[in-house]
Amino acid sequence: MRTLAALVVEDEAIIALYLKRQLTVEGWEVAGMASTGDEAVRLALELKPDVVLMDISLSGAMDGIEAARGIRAAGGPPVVFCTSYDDADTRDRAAGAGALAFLSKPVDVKALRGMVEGALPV
Amino acid sequence: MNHSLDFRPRVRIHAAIAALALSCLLAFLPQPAAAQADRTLRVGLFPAAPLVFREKGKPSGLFVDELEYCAKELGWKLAYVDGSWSDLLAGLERGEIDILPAVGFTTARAAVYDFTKDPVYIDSGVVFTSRSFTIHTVFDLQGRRIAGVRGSLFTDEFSRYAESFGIRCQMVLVEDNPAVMQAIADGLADAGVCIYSLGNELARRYPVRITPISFSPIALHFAVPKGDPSGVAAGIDGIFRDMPTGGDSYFDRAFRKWITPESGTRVPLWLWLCLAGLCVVGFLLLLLNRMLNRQVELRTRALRKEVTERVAASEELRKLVAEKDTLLRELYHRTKNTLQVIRSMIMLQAEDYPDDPTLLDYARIIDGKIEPIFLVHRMLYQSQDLSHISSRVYLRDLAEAILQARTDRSAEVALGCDGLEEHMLIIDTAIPLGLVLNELMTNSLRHAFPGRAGGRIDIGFSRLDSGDYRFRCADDGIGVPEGFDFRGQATMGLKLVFAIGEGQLMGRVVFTARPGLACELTIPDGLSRARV
Repeated sequence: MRTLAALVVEDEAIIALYLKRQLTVEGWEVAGMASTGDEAVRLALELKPDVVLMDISLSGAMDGIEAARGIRAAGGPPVVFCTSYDDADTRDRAAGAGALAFLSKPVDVKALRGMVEGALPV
Repeated sequence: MNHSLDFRPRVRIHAAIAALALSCLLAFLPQPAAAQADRTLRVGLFPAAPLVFREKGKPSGLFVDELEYCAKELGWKLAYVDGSWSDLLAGLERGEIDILPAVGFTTARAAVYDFTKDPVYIDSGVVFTSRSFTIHTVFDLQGRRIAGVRGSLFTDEFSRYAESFGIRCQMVLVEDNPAVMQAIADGLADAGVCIYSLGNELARRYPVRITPISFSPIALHFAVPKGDPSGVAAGIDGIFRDMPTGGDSYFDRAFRKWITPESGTRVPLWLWLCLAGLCVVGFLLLLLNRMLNRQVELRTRALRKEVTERVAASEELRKLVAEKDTLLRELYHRTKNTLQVIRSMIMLQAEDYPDDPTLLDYARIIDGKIEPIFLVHRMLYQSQDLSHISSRVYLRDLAEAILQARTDRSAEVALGCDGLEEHMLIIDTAIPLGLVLNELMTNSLRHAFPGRAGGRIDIGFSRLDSGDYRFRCADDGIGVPEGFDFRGQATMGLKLVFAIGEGQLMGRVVFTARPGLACELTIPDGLSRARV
């Protein structure tokens, strides 16, 4: 089974840490951690993980949706939104950012693998 | 002197003879007007309005006005003698009346009386009928009784006029024109003939109506005894002759005063009073209308202001409600996030001790108890209705989460949710109900299926006929030993089920064992009474 690399973008440290632990237990490699949109764009393009797990509400001026747009526009890896803002308005806004999926927290890490592997080039 | 003396007596004689002869001559000649000053003339007066009549005891009418003008000019005094037409006419012939007004000129009469030269008025005879008798032509009068004034020119003229058409009528002769109208009114005659000017006047006072049958136009003059012995006709002719023409002479004004109103319809006094009353009422109505309009305008203005204020208040209220919804939604979101942080901390802490499975198990038990609270807040945050969540979605999602989080996967457990009805739950009911479901399902998953490859858990939520709600969770597992004392058990799970079901939700918990184990929680109505 291939080891998938993820960039975790989450401004809530405890949740970020727990997500990292869940990914590690399930055999993922956590390539990096970011808590702001700018940092997420920079690390996504620099580390080139298989997927970016992006929270929508982030610290700083840029939110997760804008950061996802920036990553996709620069030819970066696919983005999966992991957020507790799972209302219809936010989903509609996120749909226009070219994301691979939209997951509600807490993230089901087991389901995440199949989703990402299906989207990656063979 | 002698010469003078000689012829003076002769001259005196001649002068005396001449004076006597002149006196005799003057006595037989019509006397000049000036010589007749201060004479009293007897004037015949009869009821023939508006030409001649008494009005409130005073002689009136067109002929009277013109005669009084002449009398004033000529220094006459007038003494009116009332009488019937025929009597006055006879009196004029006998010289007992000096002047008779409104006498129609005929050749026959000219042989008996003298007339002033110019007519004062031209009139004609007209047929009047009762109101119930309608005629269109003179032929309708065949065989009818016709009233007429005895000796009146128009009575004779009508007889001749009717006979010229071969019509025979029975003439009913009366003394004057009012008597003609009275005869018609009393039914003594079917119709009557009368001079137009007078008949038109009388028709207002009697129940008669004028017909289009008119005959014998005739000129009316002042008549005096034959030979005009008093010089009255000559005096009047002189005044008439000297009267200036041009439409504004005294006679013209008199004519307009008495005759012109006849050309139109005279409005009776009661009609004038009615019109005046209507005007007053109209004015009052107009005033009332203006007052009402003013009141309506003021009220409309006040209402418009009130509506504007209410719209503004409503808009303000809408904004406040929207703000409240936003704040409430944000509160649910933050609570959900906080719960997620707590759950993450608990699990992170437990995973720090990988060699102590009991600790990890406890962590998962606590996480399971937080799950219902987390799920309720998540659903409220997602819902448009910030007070209620769907019982079917909530209990189904929670049951699936509990099933997914279980650690013991020795048996394949199927979940049945068909018994879940759609009801709306408030947060105060949903969370305790979720906690009960968590305890019951966790208990089933742990103890119901030992050594089995598969099992089944069914959950239900329904409304009873009584209005109460019934929650049910049942498995098809091994059940419990006979006589098992559920209430006497010291496990935290069962304590929570009773404490929440009966203490908090004020319901009743009933366990049923064999086959499997079922728990029914009946809770009273009032689950959907929102607080926000």
